[in-house]
Amino acid sequence: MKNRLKVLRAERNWSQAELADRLFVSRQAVNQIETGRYDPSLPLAFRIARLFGLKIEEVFDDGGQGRG
Amino acid sequence: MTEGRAVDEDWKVRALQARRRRRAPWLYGSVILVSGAGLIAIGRSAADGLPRSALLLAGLLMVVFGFVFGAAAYIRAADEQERQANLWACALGLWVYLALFGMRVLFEAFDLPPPISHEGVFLITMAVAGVVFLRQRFR
Repeated sequence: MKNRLKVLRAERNWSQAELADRLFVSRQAVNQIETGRYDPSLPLAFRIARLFGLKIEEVFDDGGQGRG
Repeated sequence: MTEGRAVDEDWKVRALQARRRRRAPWLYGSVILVSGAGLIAIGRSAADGLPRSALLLAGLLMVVFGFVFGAAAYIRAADEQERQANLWACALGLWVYLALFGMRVLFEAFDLPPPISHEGVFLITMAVAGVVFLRQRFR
């Protein structure tokens, strides 16, 4: 799943470690989410979206999968 | 302004607590394991009798408790990505174990010498689980 996490983080001049601290996860988790190798759970996706003051779909893009 | 700084500082405090929570299982688990191993070492060199048995038993219980406590606390403190890495490692480790153990059982059923020892099954299973975990966690 694509996401804008790296861009959003860069806009705030946060390091991966700082973002990880703000989300209460490890730096590895942030790195894997940013590179699309790990899709976060729904609670973590909500936490990420809230942290940036955005909606989930403004951060994550599933490419239209699951649309009926 | 002050309130904003307080909110900003709040996540730092909570992040520090989270980091401590993640480290605690390793720290306390290691202390318990080393203490248990120490008791066993003292017990082994002690003369036969009740104190020796008590030391060995206490040491063994501490080692078991250290593993159980450490593992439970680790899983509780790990983040979701680390849990997923553990899940992959355990799942693939389990399949490798079943394949190797099943092979041993089949060979023995046909009165053939097993191609792998029990220790070999254990070591290969652990190695596979370890490699899979590291790959999933740090890829």
